[in-house]
Amino acid sequence: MSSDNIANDLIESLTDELDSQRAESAAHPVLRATIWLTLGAIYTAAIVMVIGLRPDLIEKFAMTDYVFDLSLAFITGIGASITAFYLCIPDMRGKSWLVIVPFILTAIFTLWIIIKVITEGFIMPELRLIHCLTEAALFVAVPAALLTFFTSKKSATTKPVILSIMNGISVTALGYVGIRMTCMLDTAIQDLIYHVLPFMFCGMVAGFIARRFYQW
Amino acid sequence: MQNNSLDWDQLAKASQTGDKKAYNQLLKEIYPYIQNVLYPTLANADWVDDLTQNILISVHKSLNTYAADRPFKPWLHAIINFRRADFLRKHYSKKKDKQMPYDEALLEKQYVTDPAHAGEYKDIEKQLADLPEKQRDVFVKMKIKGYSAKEIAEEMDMTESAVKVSAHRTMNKLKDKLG
Repeated sequence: MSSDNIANDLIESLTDELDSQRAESAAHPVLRATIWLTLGAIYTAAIVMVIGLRPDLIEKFAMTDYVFDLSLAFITGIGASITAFYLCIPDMRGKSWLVIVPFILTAIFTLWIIIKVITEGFIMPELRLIHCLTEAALFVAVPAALLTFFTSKKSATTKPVILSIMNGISVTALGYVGIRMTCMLDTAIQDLIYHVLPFMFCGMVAGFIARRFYQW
Repeated sequence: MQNNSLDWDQLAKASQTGDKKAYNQLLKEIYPYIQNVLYPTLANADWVDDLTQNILISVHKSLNTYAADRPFKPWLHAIINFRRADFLRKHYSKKKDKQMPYDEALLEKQYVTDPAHAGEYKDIEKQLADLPEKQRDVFVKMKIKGYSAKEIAEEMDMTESAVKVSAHRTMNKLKDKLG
């Protein structure tokens, strides 16, 4: 069978399949990201309520560095979420520059943590499995599964690795905001070890596993 | 070329509403275009047809991600570049497994200069046996026993198009496994 015949057969087959598979355009990525962020925020708020707000939360909100910390994490999460849903489209709707935004925000956040560690002094805390690590798993498990589901449905990513990273950043940021509202470990090094690294680790593992879901 | 781009935008938009005629025309028009994009970038011209067909299937699977208010070509090129990179990555990773010892010069020469001998080192029947039963039956009937797609469809209670797509995908899978 010549290659032209094979091509014609394939084209006819695909045309016939279009009948049962209406290729209706998927929703705009910003809308999809908004839905995910809303559900993620509701879940995080619910977990915060179950665990219980930290007793000094009102005092903390009067502190600039605490508000900056949370705001930066929140904005990073939003940026990564929107970028993730744009990454679900082969050409990202012409907005491939979006990929750099969450990376820059993550770099700023990392720099912020480093500055805090330097100014507060590097005193290694005693490492033990405290409630933060188990709560981190609670904060990240369902949002990670949900985000993987949303970004693998009606999706055709041409950058599966970057999509996995964006999902990891998004889930990490959301979980970080949640745990900073429940846990009173506030020194920079405690923050890094108990509030950032567990999420990053979970995000990386989830992202690695999730790559297979992005094959199409 | 400018008119082609506008036509493809409109054809893709119509295809998303289920217009089969528009979709058929779109696929027929982009097929030679994809080949022309791939020819200068691939070392082996035999790869172009296989990869073009894979890209066509990818276009079919991802048509719902095309935004009708945006140009079609950049969307198509993103898929072409992705599939080409994927194809070359798999191809070159497989080549690492085919390193022959240098003291077996005669064997190496046969392998390098006569691709037909590659089949002597592979068990085609074993690869067929590893396929799901229905997929294997369709492939064997169509490609080995010479049944038509219509005959297979009637016998196995499938649509003709499903039979053709199944056989095509099985062929690609065997090519990947057998080299």
